[in-house]
Amino acid sequence: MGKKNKRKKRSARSLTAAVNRSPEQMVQLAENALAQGQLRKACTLFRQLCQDDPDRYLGRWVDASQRLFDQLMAVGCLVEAKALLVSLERKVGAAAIRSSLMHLALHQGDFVRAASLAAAEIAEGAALTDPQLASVVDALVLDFQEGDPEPVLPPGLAADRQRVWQALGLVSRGDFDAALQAVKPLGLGSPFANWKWFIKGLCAFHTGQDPKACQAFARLAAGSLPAKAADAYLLLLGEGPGEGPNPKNPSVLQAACLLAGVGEAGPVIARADALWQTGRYRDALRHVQRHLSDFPSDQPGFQHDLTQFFYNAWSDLPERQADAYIDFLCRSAEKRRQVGALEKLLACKAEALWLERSWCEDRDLAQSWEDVLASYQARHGRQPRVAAIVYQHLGDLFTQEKEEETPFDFFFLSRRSKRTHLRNPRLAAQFYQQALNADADNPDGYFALLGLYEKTAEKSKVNRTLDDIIRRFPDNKTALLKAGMRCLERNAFNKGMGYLERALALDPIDAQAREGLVITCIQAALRYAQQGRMAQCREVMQKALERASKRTDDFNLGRCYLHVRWAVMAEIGGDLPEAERQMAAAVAMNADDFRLDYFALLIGVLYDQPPEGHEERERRVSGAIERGLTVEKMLSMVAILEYFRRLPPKRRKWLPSEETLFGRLLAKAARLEWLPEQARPVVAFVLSAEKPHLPWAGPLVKAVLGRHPDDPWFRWFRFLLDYGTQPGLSHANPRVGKDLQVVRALAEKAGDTELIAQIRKVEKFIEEARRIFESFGKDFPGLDITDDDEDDDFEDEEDEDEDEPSPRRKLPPPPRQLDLF
Amino acid sequence: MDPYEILGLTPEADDAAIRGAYLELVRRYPPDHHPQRFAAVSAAYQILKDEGARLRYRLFNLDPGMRSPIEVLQRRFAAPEARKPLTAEALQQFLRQRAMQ
Repeated sequence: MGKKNKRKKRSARSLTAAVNRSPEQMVQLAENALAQGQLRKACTLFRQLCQDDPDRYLGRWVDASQRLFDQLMAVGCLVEAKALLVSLERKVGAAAIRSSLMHLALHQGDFVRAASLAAAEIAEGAALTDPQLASVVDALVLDFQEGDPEPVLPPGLAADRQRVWQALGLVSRGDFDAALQAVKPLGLGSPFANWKWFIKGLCAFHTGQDPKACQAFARLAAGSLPAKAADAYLLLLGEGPGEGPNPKNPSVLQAACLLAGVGEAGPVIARADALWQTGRYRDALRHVQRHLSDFPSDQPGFQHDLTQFFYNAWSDLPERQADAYIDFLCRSAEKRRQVGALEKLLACKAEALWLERSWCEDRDLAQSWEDVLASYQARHGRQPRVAAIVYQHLGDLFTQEKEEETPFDFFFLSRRSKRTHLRNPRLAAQFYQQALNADADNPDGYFALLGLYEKTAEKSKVNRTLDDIIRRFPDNKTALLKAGMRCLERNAFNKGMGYLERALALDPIDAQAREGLVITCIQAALRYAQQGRMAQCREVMQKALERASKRTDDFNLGRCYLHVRWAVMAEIGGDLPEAERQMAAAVAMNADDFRLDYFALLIGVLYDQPPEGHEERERRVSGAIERGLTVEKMLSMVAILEYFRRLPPKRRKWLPSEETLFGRLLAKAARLEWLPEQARPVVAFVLSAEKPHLPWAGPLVKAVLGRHPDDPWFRWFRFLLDYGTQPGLSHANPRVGKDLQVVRALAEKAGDTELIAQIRKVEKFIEEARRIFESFGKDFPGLDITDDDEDDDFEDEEDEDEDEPSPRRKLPPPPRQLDLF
Repeated sequence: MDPYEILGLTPEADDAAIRGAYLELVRRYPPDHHPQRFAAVSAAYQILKDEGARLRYRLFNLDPGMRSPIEVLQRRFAAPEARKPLTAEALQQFLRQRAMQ
């Protein structure tokens, strides 16, 4: 016997037994049943009691029956609820249960009867609970009939109802201000106040005032019709299940679809969403495919959005599920070939994009995009532009840089960056070429090919491609600029100046073209000076000065520094009067003689100036230093030395001796009155050297900390001096972490995000180092964390690499000012 | 949401129509007063501004836009312009249907 039957039998047995009990016992049983929510049992007991003593028990039977009716209505058992009301009506008449009859009429769609019953309820002045009153008002509104129902409503209520109807009509016409005015007279005490809030919410919703709409809808009485209607609006507003309506409720979702104008899709979306939320992604897609006739679609609208979702959603799924989903997309497109080419195209595209993100053979990836192209052409016809874009995309994919995997990554930690190489330069070049064959008028295709050749350091191909680009697109600024810079690199200064002047003519405010042109002029002028062709030197330096800037901190474009360079060039060319004139012009523009002399001194070294002029300048600089060091002089030296640090290593072999001189001066200069913000760039300069000599910075850091003990930057510098500027294995020492915490606290207190970022890098390194140490545990005893020689070994390796140019090396980040080659 | 819909255009719109619609919407929704709307319009214009960009979007766009089918529906109603009020008859029918549920 099933559980249900057993329960029925037990219930019947207990009721039979109840018949034999006294009325008091039966009342007790019925009360217990009511308290436990066993409404059917309570009704049966009260009905039996009523048969014996109707005067005493009729009211309680009616109460229990109405509770059962409400419960049946809530779970949608309309037929049973109706049968219950019929039996009640026979016993007590319609008037006693009018409210329930009205409720039933509303649910059955008999709005005229519901309104009549509601009007009668009001006319007789029945004592109604709040939910009952709300139902009465809802019934009156839903009537939507001209003229009052029978019996006629009191004038106040009729007027209020009229206002609600009027406001709803105005909302439909989009006249939201008038709608709000229409319901303004409805007071909070009016039975129609609920509808006033609903209309306010509607107006806010349609005018995009979402918080206001939510606020208004939140004031609606729970269970009332406006609250049920508002659920659909709240769902569209994206209210979460905790705050708003439950999105899994199909009736709410269907109502929301009706509002969205896609009413027929409601049940499909509801089911698909339920499947999606439970992780049945493929079933959700299958359901939509089967039940929405216009799916997939590439025309704007809801179906298009849905298409985009279902064919791109795999990108947000976990890897294994995404793999299965893509597989399903492809199989489904194959099975449903008759549906159309769009599904095939979307599936091919998803598969190709998926392969891009996961590991696959190069030829498979290329084939997948060829399939996309074929599907696209099947759907939209042959389009060379699309072919060019797809081939260029393939070229980009094969130009991507990949990091080389080393078997012992751990040993290197962050001391050396991983080497990178291009994925497949041969295929990349092939596809870029195919893109150009498909669409020869696309400059982007040429630039992509140029970028590839630049990465593979195929200089002759770079030059050829640049020439090709300029021939095809003579007014392309980017091409002219790149060509100009390439000419500068290969010392073709006159040609480079021509390209850069054309680029600057196209865009006179292009900073890169301007700086490139000035540098090319300087290089050309130096060449002329070395050849003794001073007239040409003058001509190009004039050209450079035309594009110069007044700034005294720009060593490339600054007018005073151009004069200094010209002076040095004149000395090289033997034109001493010109050299004096230019130096005087430089001094006239910048009163800081020491800065100009020091710059001239180093530029002279770089340009290989004759000894006479150089010695004279050296004497002047030495004299200025001997007369007394100042903070300003030290800052000038740092700025200039930093500028020369950006030269290629082969051209600055002389620089370390200058830096050593500076370091010695710095030890003496620590006694000066340094402000922290003045001392900071100086210490940073010392610490950022390729092989920093930390003792140079020590006295200055100590002096500043003596006056400003809580300066976060100087505490950081102290930390670097104590533990080294490069994170190493010694950083795994717990003491380091504690010191770092102190610095970090000071940086956070000062709100210095730059410093916090630097500290965070070291902290990350320490975490990683600890993790690795812990993973080795006792099985890794040979590593002495205080052994600095380990680091030296790596440095030697790096030096060896330095001398071996490799096209696969990552390029250094671009400097603020262009390098002066 | 579809970039054409954000700009109020059909897929047949050419470069000039797209730029015109973009400038009009930028004037109507300055970033100071409508930052979200302005960002959406700008993003849509970047996607559609020339034929190459449009084709690239069509071929390589990976963004599902939403996390569930319901969000597709919700996102369509994110912009107030998309929230067209129901006609009087449709509103009556909508309310009556909700009463019967």
